[in-house]
Amino acid sequence: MSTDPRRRSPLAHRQPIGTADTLHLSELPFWGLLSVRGDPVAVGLAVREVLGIDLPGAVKATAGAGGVTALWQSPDEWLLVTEPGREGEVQARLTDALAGRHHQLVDLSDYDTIITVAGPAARAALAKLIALDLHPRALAAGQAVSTLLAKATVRLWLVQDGEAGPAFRLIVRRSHADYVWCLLADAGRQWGLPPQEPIGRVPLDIGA
Amino acid sequence: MLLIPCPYCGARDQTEFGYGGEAHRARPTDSDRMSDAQWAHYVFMRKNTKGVFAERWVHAAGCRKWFNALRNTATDEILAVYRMGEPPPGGFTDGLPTPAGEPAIGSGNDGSTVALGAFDPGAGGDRP
Ligand SMILES: [Zn+2]
Repeated sequence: MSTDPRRRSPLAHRQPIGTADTLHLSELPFWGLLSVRGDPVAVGLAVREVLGIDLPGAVKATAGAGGVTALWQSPDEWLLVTEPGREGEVQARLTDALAGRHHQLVDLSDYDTIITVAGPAARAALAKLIALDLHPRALAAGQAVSTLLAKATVRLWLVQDGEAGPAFRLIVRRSHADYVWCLLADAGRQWGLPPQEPIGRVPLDIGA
Repeated sequence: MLLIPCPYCGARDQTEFGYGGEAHRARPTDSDRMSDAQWAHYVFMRKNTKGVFAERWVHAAGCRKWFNALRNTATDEILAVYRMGEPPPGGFTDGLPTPAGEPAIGSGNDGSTVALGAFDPGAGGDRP
């Protein structure tokens, strides 16, 4: 985590596009992302003690409490997603609880960013770019999965699903973020999303 | 395109996976006493099985775990997946040499025998 005021999110040069009643894209910058690995029992005890979360034990499963959500990544790896600015505190408490137990706990907050894809057309737009079955019977609200979006590895998290349509969060690598953004805008053309120039053709103000 | 059943994630598209070649190849523990030919045999030579073949895959875009699979290379049918360190499950046979049932000789089934002849990498000395 960085508290430098010059900190710049990977999609800071983009503005939200689309409308909530069809399809809407925006960045959720600076959310906390912690990767925790280790024995499920040992790590599970520490996470329950610190966060009150029972670590999910199967593919696609997530579990959350108190503004932190754990996403299953593999049989011995979870991604903890926190609201912006909380990752340092969570990491410090977890480090204490895991002392003496074999584990790995890494702050990835500056490595990835989150793109929200929301609205009634969100599922159809993502289906143009993802080979995975996105039908609600295969990916329900509260589930998350690691897969490929075009050529980029992403974690796809269906946060909620209802009358207003599904709301997905895509956790993407910093260097893939603009690529994914432009592809999503292309996929959303039929629902009125404006075309987005790839980053190499946009004058980039990197600040002083 | 194959649909590969990751033992941890379930069936996923082949594009999410990386291929790791033949499974169950143990690194020699006495490489300091091996001839160049024997070492080259370990490093480069692989079976070219037509039929049931044990091979490694990694779910690179998913859980990033390695695992083993038994695949019939003639039909691309994946017969079983199992974890690293586990022995291959038995009970799978090649059935017909190929779906078309062509003879073994000249169809590639005998490829490794022809290439290696009587060479035994464990016997020492260079390949004839
Ligand atoms: Zn997997």
